[in-house]
Amino acid sequence: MKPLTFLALSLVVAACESPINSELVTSLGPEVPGVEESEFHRYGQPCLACHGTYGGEGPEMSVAGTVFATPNDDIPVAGAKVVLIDANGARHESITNCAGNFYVEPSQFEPLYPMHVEVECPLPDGTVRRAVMGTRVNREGACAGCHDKGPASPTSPGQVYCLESQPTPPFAIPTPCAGGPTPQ
Amino acid sequence: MTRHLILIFAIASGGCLGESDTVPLGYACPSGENFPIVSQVFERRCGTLDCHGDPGRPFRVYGRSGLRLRQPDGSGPPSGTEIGTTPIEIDENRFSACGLEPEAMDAVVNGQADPETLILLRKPRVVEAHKGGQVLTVGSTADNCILSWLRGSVDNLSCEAALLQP
Repeated sequence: MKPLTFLALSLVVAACESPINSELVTSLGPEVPGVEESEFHRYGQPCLACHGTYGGEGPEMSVAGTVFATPNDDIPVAGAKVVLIDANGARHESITNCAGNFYVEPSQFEPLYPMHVEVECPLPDGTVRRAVMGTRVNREGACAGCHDKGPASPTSPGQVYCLESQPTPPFAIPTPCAGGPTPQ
Repeated sequence: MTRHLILIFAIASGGCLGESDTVPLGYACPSGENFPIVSQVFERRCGTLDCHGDPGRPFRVYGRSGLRLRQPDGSGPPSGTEIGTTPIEIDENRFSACGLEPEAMDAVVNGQADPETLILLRKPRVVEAHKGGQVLTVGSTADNCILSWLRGSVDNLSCEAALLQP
């Protein structure tokens, strides 16, 4: 390759990178030892940082996130139904895995924002609790783009959760699971 | 040389004034008297965390369901809880709206320009490119609410109606 062509190509590639996104990816840190890159990894993190437009990692995702049991417990919920309804009324449903993760690829559903979101949570007693997001999503496909892992803070309503506090019987960490808080 | 350095430092320091330090400097801003309900419309339409609830946005909106105003130590009311938007946050939203184009806003308040020329309306109406798409349509209740505030007399009925819409 001629030097000028190489330079031009390098500039084009550099121009496509988002420094803000790169900073975000760096802040997420390395993989947890023992957890492979899969649909079970990095629960509670903003999936689209890597799997979105600027991330470049496959599969590309349009919407993705993690559902937890309560605002303060590090307990993912498996089998939660995440219902997405976009501005056109198009609806998509996903089910969370044992790490609490779900993801949607653009070929499956690419929402026209604003988007309404609700979660149907399977409770330990066998009933289902419907949790509806109070505001609309306007552009951020990664739940954790706004919903930081952990409790609410001035800059985040905290992680996506099913109930304010542990029910009776309580939620437990889904096991075995290739990701989540106790990967095995 | 030293004087030049002092001058540069002074200019740089001036550029670092916090938003809470002062109202838009020397420029007129529509009244805050009936602004709380207008603030609610901004919070509802513009202030989610993935849009203007992001502190990096030039038009930054605080609100109960979005970004909360933090103290210098980082503390503040949690987002998305029952703690409503505070009077200080409402004031900050007004200053933020006026600080977008202070000279243009000054001209609007002094009757020398049409409020519809403001970026505050042009962007959500998509007269000018807006990443968040069309948020206001001309003549809608939310649009009327904001426009009425800019014209100096808040149309409470429009604002209330706008808040009832999804």
